[in-house]
Amino acid sequence: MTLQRLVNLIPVSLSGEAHQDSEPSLAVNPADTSQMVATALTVDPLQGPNAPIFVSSDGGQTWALRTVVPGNALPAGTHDISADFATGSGVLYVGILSPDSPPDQTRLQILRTTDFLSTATMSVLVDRLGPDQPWVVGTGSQDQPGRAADRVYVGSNDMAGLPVTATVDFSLDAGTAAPAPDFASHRLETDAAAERDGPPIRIAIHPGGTVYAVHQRWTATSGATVTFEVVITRDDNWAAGANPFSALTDPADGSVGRRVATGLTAVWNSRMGQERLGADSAVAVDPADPDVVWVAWGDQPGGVLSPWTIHVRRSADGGQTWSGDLRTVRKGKNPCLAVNAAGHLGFLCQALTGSGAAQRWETTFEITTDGWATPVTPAVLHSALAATPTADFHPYLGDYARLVTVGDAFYGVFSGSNHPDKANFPNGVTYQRNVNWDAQQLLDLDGTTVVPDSIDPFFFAWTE
Amino acid sequence: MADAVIADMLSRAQFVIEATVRSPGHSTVADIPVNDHTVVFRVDRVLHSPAALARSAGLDVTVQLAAGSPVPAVGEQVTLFTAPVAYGDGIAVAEVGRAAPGTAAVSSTMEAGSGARRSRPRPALGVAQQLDDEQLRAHAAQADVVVIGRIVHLEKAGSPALREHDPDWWLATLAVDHRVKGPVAGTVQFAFPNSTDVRWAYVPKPKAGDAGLWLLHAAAGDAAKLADYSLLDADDVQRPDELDRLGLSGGGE
Repeated sequence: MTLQRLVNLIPVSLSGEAHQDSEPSLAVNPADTSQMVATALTVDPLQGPNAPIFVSSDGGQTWALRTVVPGNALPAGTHDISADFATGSGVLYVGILSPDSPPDQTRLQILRTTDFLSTATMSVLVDRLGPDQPWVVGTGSQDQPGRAADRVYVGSNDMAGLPVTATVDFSLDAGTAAPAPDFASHRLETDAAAERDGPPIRIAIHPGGTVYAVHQRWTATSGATVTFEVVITRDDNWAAGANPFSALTDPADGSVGRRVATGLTAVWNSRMGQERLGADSAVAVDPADPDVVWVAWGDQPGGVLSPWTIHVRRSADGGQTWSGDLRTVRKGKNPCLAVNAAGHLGFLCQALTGSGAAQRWETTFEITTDGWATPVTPAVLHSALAATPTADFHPYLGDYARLVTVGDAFYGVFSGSNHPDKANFPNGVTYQRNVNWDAQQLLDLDGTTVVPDSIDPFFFAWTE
Repeated sequence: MADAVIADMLSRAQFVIEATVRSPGHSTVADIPVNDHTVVFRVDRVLHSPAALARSAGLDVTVQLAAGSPVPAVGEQVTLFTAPVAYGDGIAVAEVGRAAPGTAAVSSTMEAGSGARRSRPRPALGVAQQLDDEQLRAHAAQADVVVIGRIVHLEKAGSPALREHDPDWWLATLAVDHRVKGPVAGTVQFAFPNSTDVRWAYVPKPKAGDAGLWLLHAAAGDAAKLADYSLLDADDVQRPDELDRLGLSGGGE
């Protein structure tokens, strides 16, 4: 296993910026892996009308910003943002929570551009009130004569649907020209007895048309304490039928959606190392076998006083039956899963280590070929003191990070302290912004003025 | 050039510089379109900018000049009013206006850098300060209640916030020392979002004993169920001595 590169995404022209660029997402064009887009809670440094995306045209070696996302507000540009390319067409899709929304509402927008390097404002395909945490996953299918149809799925927690809030907006041909393509909005949650669902709705697509979605069903709340279940749904034909995401039923009651775990506990909005807690989720499918699917989530397994813990489980029969915990990370956060062409699982995770003033956020990556039957030593990508810099807002690092694969390669993004200490990057790092490594100082555009540490997004590429 | 023209350009620009033409038809930022109106300038002086780019004097910046506008000759200096396009090895901006050097008077020294984590645009042009003041006065004029007072009571309102972007409403009670505007006397209560979520983090979070000039607005939506007024904007709390600047010194009791 080899770390190809770990790069701080802030370009040299923004050496003076000190914003909290948390909650990153990543898109890699499967047809041309030199083309990448990353997002974060990043405000346009010049505070223009649009928020930025990060773009790379050299496989993540260098990054620049394009201010193309409609809406831009301090301190973070958008209020949530994620992105993905469609396979084949190379069209970029972005989901945001627009900052231009009423005080009592969130506003989902699904955006599109045919040229990820364009400086033109992205087109708005979907615009509606209610959803939270849009999570964009794109792919393509060569079922249209002469072209690949863009299959785009956007998970969100749509509070307009209370109590059934877990939702996926999807289009089976999102790349069509004007008028805007049809996006269907489908409730994944079918249990009307649920109080509601948790924010993360995660989606994994097999190239043959199997689509998995994982949500967290809140079965009870008491104050800030949430009791929830992890539920997976599946569709075997791109969600093209009359009853999408209904292929899996639970053996306990025959309802749509298989419970992966039940009776879980989370204290909503509790804190761990300046980060807020409440919901973590990930899902990945083996591109070589649509029946092999992995799920991760976070909870407090010993009750409200126990530490936040990440769990990873596996199904080999399309989600019908599940393993026990194959991997756990105590005080973990932001689990990310992806399976490469060889069937190997990549696992990116951030964890709070140490105690007191020595606590650190540690970001690790590991690959297992056999579901951790053989022990794996995670590679430390980043480790930095958890108490600094001081949080400007929540999320501090993010309510999510992201890991994707193309072929055998893994690509990921996470956010962390940009304090320039080489010891914080035991496998090396590249900064684009001005830095004095000897003095462990960030420097402004003039090369002399010291810039305070802040949270920056980091990209990494890993090959086997 | 009239201040009104400068103000109009400034209202559409985020980055104002005095700059000298170095290389027409080129770019310092990779992967952006280049034509005969794409020009590399050397930044001679930053006149108006958020903190992150305030120290860009001496650097090259790529400017997409307005379509159909004259392209200045190499070595010529102009004042450019620009909006952002891209950031990479260099900065690319688009021209929204142009003036002769020295037309836009500088009223103060640019401040930026180490203390500017929560940077907002910092007017350095005299007309920029005027524009900023006008916007603040317009915001103040929209307030339904304007008082000088201090926070005497705080309480959490409503049920626990179990949404990431929930405002987490709290109620604050102000003891009114001086009423400038609005039907209040003695005390006035308002709702404010106490959440540290990204959506609400920049809204002021009053603390007990905080004194100031408060701009309160008629509550709407969920906040209206809690109080008659709300505080939702970073500009809703000012120093008491800002009455003149806000154009509010003429009234009150």
